[in-house]
Amino acid sequence: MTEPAFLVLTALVDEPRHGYGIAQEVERLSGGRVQLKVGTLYGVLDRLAADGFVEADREEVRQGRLRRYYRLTDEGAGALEEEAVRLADNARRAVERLRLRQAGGLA
Amino acid sequence: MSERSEPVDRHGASREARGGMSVLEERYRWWLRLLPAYYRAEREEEMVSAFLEGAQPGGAGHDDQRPRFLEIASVAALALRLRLGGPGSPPRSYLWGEAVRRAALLGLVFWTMIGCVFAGQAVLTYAIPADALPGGVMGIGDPGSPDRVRLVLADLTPLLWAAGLGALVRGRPRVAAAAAAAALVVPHVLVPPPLSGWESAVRWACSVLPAVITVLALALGFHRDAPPPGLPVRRALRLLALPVAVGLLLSLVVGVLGATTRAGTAPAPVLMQAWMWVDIPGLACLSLLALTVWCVAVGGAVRRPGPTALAGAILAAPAVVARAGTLSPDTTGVTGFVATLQLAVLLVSGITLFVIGIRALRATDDAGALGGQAR
Repeated sequence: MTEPAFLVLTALVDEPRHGYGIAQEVERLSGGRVQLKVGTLYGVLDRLAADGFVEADREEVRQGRLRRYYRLTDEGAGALEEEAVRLADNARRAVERLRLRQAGGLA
Repeated sequence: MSERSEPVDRHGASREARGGMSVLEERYRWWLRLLPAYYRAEREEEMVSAFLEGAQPGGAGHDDQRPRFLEIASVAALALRLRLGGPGSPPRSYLWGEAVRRAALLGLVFWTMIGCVFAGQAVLTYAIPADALPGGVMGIGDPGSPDRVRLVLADLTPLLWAAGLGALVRGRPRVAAAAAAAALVVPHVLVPPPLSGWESAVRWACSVLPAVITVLALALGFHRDAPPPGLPVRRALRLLALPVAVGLLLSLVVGVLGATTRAGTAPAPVLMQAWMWVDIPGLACLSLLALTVWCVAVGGAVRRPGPTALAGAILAAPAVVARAGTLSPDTTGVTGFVATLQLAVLLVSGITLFVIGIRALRATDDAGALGGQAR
């Protein structure tokens, strides 16, 4: 799973969001590091929808503009959890090794 | 929340949005035309909405009048991925995607063969009969000199095409694209082309165009939604062995031609003709002719040649340019005749392949229309 896909799924965990809402939330989650352009965002959403990880929730018109909201599916939540656990395991192992190195164990 | 939420009315939203369209929105919609029509019909309004909500105000307090470069690049990348679709894409996108991917594969096969011709020639020139060649005449540098090393490397680096082909058939398109790009660039860095004015620059650009198209097809055709199938090692090796064997065989032919030319035992016009069939445009001509015959032969059979024919047409266009780039008003006699014949063969092959490909596209559209009616 790519980092943008991971962040988009994470952005949809708490509530359905529309395109710009997802881009804003991804930027917030990544501390401003990942700024999804619209073409990139919809490419990611297409792939996640094709995998069954997200689906359209509802549509609204605000100030004359269409907003389509997307929500996380149960399958998407499962995939995100699996990936999060994998990343956390990797991070934990890296931290353990770094601590050992600092202690002179692997030097 | 100060924003007013209205019931869903996508078409109403579209009309309203277009009614008060800003220059920025108009320009962004213009760039969205890069996307396929089916995708725009589904996504355009929400993409415009997301873009305008995120548009940054300009320095003078006014809205920027043009979409930023990265926004346009993201739309262009999405358009390419959609238009060169992978499995699961609409049939027309898939067919174009397959055509570009096969152009990359066929191009790599061809350049692997050429790389082996160069490598075989390097062995023949610098190793076996080097002592037999007149000193200094061939411009091959003194043994052990930096010039010799540079020239040998320039002849061996085209073998990177073979590495690219191997990587592709093993399912690693990024490695393949990097190897192919290196195979294209490095020989020209080691031995810069003799450019003296715009005419020689244009001729050089024409000569490298076929290889550039192969690298582009490789870079664009294979993406996350259309990865190459990784073949098992044995099948991958078999696929690699064919152009390598043909290339090495051709290098022997070129070696014999070189020896005959040096000996002066054959008439010059005959030798000139022979040389023109074993140079890169000549071999491209023969390869595309063989591909055309295959596509015509299997046209009515179960195996549909549509994507392969389109791939051939994609490769034929730069081959025509490359051959035409070798012509000049002074090209007359045997040279002129062979060059014109090759151009004619390339044009006829290219047009035939294009027609077969377009028919396949139309058949795809018709099947899609029938499927739509059935639904």
